[in-house]
Amino acid sequence: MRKKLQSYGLNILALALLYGLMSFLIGQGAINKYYLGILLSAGIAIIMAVSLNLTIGLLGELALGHAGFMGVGAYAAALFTKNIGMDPATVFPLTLLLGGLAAAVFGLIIGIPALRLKGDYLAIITLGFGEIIRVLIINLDFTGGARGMRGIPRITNFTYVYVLVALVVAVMFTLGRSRHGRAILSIREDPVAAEASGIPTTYYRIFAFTVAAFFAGVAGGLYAHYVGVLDPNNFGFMKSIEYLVMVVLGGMGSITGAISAALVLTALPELLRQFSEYRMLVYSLLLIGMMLFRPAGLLGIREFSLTGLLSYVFRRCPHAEPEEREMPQAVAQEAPPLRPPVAEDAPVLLSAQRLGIQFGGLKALTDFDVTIHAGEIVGLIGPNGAGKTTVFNLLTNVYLPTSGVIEVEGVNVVGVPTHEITQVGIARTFQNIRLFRKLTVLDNVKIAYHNQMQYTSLEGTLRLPRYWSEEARANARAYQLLRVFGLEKLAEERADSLPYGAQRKLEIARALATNPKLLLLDEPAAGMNPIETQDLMATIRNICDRFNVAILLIEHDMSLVMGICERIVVLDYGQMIALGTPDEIRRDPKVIGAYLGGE
Amino acid sequence: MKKLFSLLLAVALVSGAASALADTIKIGGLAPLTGDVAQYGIAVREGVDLYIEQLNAAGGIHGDTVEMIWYDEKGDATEAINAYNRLVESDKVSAIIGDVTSKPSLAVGDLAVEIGIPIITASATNYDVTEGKPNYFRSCFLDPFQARTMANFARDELGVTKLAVLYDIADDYSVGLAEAFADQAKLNGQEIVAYEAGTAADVDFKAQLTNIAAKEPEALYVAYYYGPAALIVTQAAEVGLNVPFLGADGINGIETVISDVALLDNAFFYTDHFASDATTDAAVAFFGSFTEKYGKAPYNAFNATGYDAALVLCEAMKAAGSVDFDAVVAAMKATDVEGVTGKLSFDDHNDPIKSAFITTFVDGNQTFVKQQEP
Repeated sequence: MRKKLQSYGLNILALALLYGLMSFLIGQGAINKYYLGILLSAGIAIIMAVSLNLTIGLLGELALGHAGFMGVGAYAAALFTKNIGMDPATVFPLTLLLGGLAAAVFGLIIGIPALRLKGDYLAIITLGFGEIIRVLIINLDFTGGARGMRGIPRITNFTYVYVLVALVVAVMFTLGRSRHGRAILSIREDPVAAEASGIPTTYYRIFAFTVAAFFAGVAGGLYAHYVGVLDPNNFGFMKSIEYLVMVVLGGMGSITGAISAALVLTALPELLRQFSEYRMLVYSLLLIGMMLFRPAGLLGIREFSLTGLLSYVFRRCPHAEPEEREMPQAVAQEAPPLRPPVAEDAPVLLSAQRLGIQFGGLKALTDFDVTIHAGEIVGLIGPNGAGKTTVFNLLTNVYLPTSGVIEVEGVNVVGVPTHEITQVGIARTFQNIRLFRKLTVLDNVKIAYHNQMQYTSLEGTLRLPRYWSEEARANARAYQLLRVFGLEKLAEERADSLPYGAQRKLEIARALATNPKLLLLDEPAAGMNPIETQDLMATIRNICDRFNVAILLIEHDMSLVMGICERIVVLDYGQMIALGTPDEIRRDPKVIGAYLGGE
Repeated sequence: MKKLFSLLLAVALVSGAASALADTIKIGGLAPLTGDVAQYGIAVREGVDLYIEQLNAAGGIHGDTVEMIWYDEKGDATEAINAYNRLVESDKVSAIIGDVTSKPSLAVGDLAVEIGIPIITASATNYDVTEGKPNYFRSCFLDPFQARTMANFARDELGVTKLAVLYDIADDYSVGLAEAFADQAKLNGQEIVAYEAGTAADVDFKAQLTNIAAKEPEALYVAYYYGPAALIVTQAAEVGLNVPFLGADGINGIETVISDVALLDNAFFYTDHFASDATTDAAVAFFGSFTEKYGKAPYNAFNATGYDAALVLCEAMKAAGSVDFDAVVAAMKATDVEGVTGKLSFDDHNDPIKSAFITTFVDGNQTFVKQQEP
């Protein structure tokens, strides 16, 4: 934390120095109105690009109507200024806030229906909404219609733009590195896994979209009071594309990348003025060239860090990235009794009765009954297509059962949203590994701590004490958990750089981080060699004892199933055909029949 | 002593002459040269560049060469501000010709009025562009102006007194034309016997035309662009309304879309900024030199208004004898020149007082009728 605060201090100092220097140069006339104008346009573009990056880069949803939100903010702010009746310059911060809020309201209205769709569909929907905003502005009377709005006082100056750019960028960084930011990132990486890790994905989709719209609205307010004349056609599709280009060129997901691209793309057309009519041609060629030679964008998903640069320059530690290096030794000593141990005569944890689901005419599962006691390891086996994964999807409410009940500790959980199932105490892994691939091992685990932290997005953004204490605790716990799996040395690595076995383990660790009472493992040994499988068996037993969780496990590897399961359920064609101890199952004629065919 | 004095005088003269030879006056040009509205920007620039070339060939402004510095602004207000700032701050131009479309012109105008730099647009017809900006002029006429001029033409040349108006209620351009035409007609003592509205989306104007025909007007003012106007002319013939049609600059091009061009011959009269077959000396000379320089005839009224904008500005600089902002603005205000679009001076609002070109059709070709004084 101290190191982080030092780094904040350093950045704030650098920002203040830069501001002082720029103001001095502007005052001296060394930066004339022309350069100042470009700086202001670039600042506004930075806010637009950075906020769009939240939707496209961090949330991973392609939105094509960002300029529409800018338009809403611009018109709202301009109308406020023109009708306030007070000196508009004194209430300008309020004006900008209003512009942002107006855009945020539109973001919310559009986000709620639109974000149910994904990918291309969302792109088309946002494109449509962006156009609707433009057409509305053209057709409404109070906006000045197609003639545009004029006579807006030019209040936007260097100080406003500079301070707001600094604020927006700071918020993006602090928000991005809080539990809310990680939730947003997890949706980009894998929404299904995010939901299973307890992230309310719909909420965070709309949250990110609305925050992005808010900042676009603020940028719109600045724009309106910089140009003084508003033209509805300035907020159309092509403008949205311009900002999209900035995000893509900067490197999707990189905030500093978006900043540099916004600077470059605003300044470039001005630098190319000597090419006259051909400058847009040259500009396009440069864009194509940049994309060819740097397809991941200027910075990829990396971030420029001043502290990193300084320590690189001074060679203090060549790899300074202070955040994740904080592995507080003292806290790490605490053993992880995350839950009090359960008694020997374990109570019933989960009971499913007459559970069934039909997909159209196909009965994927009928009359499935199972009872799992606390701390028990139960195997779920059956031939391919028997409905094993369907059971998992029913227990985690990915599917809604057409019949039957599921009770966890006596409470019916049918209909509870998937992301709340983790709070009930059920966590799962997936048949095909679903990690947050581009995030670090540590972040993969910390995302699953989401619901165990309480601090709000505001506390996270402002870095209030609760953020620090909860994050430090989550870090410590994550390291402990990783140590159990022997992954603590890899905590800083990207999840997709891990070997296969380690990825499986990480997925289990992530599921355990939600603090479950029941862990559902979907073919944990798939693709493992016999030695790895042995290792996994030991790990599963270890988990069961150490974390006091019950485990329901789908597996084809009979040595594993027979070796660790206390009871085994056998499914065939969606029917439960046997339930018993490994010995009973081994001798059950129905089971033998299902596996070998015939009686 | 006398010798010394004459020596000094000679030195002064020589150095004066030398400095005059070396001086260039920079004029900034703002126009969309790329993008959606580039056609207008390029049209203006061609007109301006032609004038400046002729001016420099003829000795410039009191011996000073004029250099045009053009910047593209893509029709975008933000770019226009950047380009304007660059012209003023970095290139230190003495005056500006531009902008071309209304919104960038408004954005630039708010900045220009702060420093009082002489600025003239050849094409921005938005009334507010010159509003409250004593240093902002324009060389194109406004929409109400051409409607009033047409009412006068109807009285003076056609000698008609019973007029009808058909306009598009959903279009500012059309409503503005219709109102101004009716107002002027009443002032002229002419009678508006019918005042009918439709929209540009209509394809059938027969209901309105039948109403109009019933009132037996002597001419019909069609406040539409050329597309709907072509339909109106055709349908008027079908309902038996055979009167002269009157229109504004939006009619330009009607002969290319109408099904039967014969309906237009000596029947449709419209006002325009310029007519390429105009017979005034200035217009004929312009036509010739433009064709020579660009290898094509003037194709857009803004070729001519651009030429006139440069003319007005440079004449004012000559008259002021300096490039001092206030002196040039004052000289522009007092403008009284013969441009290619006619005799030109400015009213209190810095809008031109000039003649409009009345054009009709002969054998389906645009044919210049006369320059109608306001």
